Amino acid sequence: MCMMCSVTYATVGAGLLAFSPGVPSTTATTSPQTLTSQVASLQRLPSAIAAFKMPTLTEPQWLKDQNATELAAAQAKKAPISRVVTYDVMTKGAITASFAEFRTQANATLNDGRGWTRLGVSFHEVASGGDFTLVLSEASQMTSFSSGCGVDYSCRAGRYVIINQDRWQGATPSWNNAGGSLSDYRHMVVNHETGHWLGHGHASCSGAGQPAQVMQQQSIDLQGCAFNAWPTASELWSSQLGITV
Amino acid sequence: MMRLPHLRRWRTKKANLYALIITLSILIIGSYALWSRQTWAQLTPYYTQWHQSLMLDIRSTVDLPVPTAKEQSVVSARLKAISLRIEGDQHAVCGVHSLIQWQQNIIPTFKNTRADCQKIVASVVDFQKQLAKIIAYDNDDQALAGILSTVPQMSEVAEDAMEARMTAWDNTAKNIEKMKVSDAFKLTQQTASKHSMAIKIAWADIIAAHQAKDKQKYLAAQNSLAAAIDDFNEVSNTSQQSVAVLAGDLEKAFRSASTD
Ligand SMILES: [Zn+2]
Repeated sequence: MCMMCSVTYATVGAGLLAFSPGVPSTTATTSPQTLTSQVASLQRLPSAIAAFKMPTLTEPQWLKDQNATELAAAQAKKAPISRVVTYDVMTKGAITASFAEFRTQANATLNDGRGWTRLGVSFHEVASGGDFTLVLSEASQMTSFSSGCGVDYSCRAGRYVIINQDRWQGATPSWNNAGGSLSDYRHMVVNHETGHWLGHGHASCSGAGQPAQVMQQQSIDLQGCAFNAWPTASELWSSQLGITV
Repeated sequence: MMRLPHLRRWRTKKANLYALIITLSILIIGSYALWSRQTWAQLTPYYTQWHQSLMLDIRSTVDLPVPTAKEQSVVSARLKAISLRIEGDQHAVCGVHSLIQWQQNIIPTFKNTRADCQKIVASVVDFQKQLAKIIAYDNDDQALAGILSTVPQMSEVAEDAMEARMTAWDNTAKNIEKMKVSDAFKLTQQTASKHSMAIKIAWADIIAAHQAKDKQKYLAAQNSLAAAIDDFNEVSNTSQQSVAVLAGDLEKAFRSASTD
């Protein structure tokens, strides 16, 4: 049935014709951008997918055992300490993290049997005049050390081994997304930046599934390697200290 | 002579009858002509009003604030209502009664009026076809988001829960595979299916390495899982690209429908 036959003309004429100038064109135009954005905003998928996060896998007992065995073996092989490296510690900018915890954890990392001590050195914190200065810096202050340092990551500039407070407190998105723990990140970042002071540049992943070298930029991308917070055997040298192992 | 008054009466009756028939004929023809004139005269204001109120309906939907998750269904429902309205009206808007339709064959003005109306309706129907694609895509998008939301998200997974994670992703991949979707959604469906399967495989590798107590493989599989979860974003990207194409077509059709 046609609409013209079923609807009385009177109803057409009255109120609704207020919109009609009597010609078959219309002024009811809409910003096309709004139509697009309205349609795009209907999607549920992006928010559903954004909820997917890499979960932390509880370390199985066998893995804990293997790690402990490896640690013991590493400590047994530890080169006799022949040299003491001193460092002093400072902060830069507004610090909200616990500075005491930073000092304690950094010292523990530096003197860990899995770390640079395998060069045959030990690290002693001194009040001032150390061989290098370890800094906990507010992110925005990173660039004050060198134009080569950015606010996003930690850095080494000359004698300063600078840990970015944001990274110290929250690691990096790629690290977190890959399921890395904060404590491993802290080990890694202290070893990595100290590694630069020891004379190392950056390394790349040596093969998918292999442990990353500590001098790989794991904060940015694991490149298929497995996390590793400690220097690998091939990294046990220091041009700064004149050590080749 | 006796029959004369009777004959006179009969003649008078006959004359009256003719007069009545002529009067009725004039009335019928006059009414028909008046009705025809009014019908044709009302066609333009009628379809113009229909078109404008439809555009107003669309505009008021488009002008709604960009919806939050809760409001998305309101906007979806309104778009569906617009689509249904066009579907329901499209054959009737330019219709005129069959008793007067023939007049367009002899009066060019009537023919032109009807042609103008049909042109507007055709452009509106084109818009409706694009809108229907968006609505179908929106339905598929909701269905897939629904399937994905059934995968429980956990911040920590213990070793005895790994099997359940693998099963959940296996079921997800199968459910996505089973979806009956619109053509425009197929690429998004395939991408989601592929990445769900990749996550399931990564979990299977983790479980295998865990059972073999192989540290290197365990860590590598863990990295593969992280990468697979990261890669799932490709589904969002694919979907956004598909929607952009559909929205572009809709926008074009709308522009054409609103200015004809
Ligand atoms: Zn570096």
